[in-house]
Amino acid sequence: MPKREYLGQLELMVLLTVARPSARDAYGVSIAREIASSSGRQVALASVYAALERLERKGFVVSSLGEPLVARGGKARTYFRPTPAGVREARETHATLMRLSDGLPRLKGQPA
Amino acid sequence: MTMREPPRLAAWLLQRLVASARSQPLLGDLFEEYQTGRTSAWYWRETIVALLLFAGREALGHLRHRGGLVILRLVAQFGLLIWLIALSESYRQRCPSPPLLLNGSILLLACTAFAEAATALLDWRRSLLRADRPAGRPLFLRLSVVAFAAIGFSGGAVTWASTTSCAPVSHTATHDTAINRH
Repeated sequence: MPKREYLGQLELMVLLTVARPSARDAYGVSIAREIASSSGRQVALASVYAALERLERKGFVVSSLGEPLVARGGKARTYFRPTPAGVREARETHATLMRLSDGLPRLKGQPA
Repeated sequence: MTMREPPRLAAWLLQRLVASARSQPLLGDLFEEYQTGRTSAWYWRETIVALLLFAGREALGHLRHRGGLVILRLVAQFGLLIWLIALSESYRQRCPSPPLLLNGSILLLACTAFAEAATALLDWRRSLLRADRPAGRPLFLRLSVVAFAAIGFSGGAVTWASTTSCAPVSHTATHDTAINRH
């Protein structure tokens, strides 16, 4: 069986956020906001960057530097987008989670 | 539009303690989000998380890097010591009063001091520049300095030893003469 890099929970959430078609210019703040609105939990920006760093090391996302902006105190945004390997990994992880959760009535609020 | 200034100490800590490749986009994001009405407590909380996540990891990486360097330096110095002892022993075969053992030790100390001073100077320069260096470059530089010092000083020692005049005394001949007298 080929060796696979498993994704952590936050890594998967970040990867799914970056892979969304609406997240064409995904960067730290936009990713953190998207995760917060989807999960209802605040996530620290540094945690998002740590997850992005791991994803980049695994080859699942690539980054590019934007222009410095006054609204950011003269700092540039770092944009992230998924690689084909990243999209494939997100799809496979999602499929695995679906298969594992399939047939678990408790997850659907039904008695076991 | 008036910009709100985020807590200076927190921003300074991030800038100083986290590598710039990581801190710059993070500082920009924190600044941007702070403008939306976030509190100073939020900024500090984010800063502490960033310091725990990145500064700690970077410090550990630096420690590992330094630890490796110390071991390499010890190995290099031990090798140099063995070499000088071997050199002085081979010289002693020709010359019964070995000045090289003492001088070799002095040269070894000088070599070590030079290597240490050079690496300290590099450290000091880097801390002044506060540059984010690519991994491996300082190690390569330091090893080059140690190798240069080792080869330079040892080469000097060998040259000096080979040109030093010495009146060789044959132990065997003296011993034989003493036996004949008896």
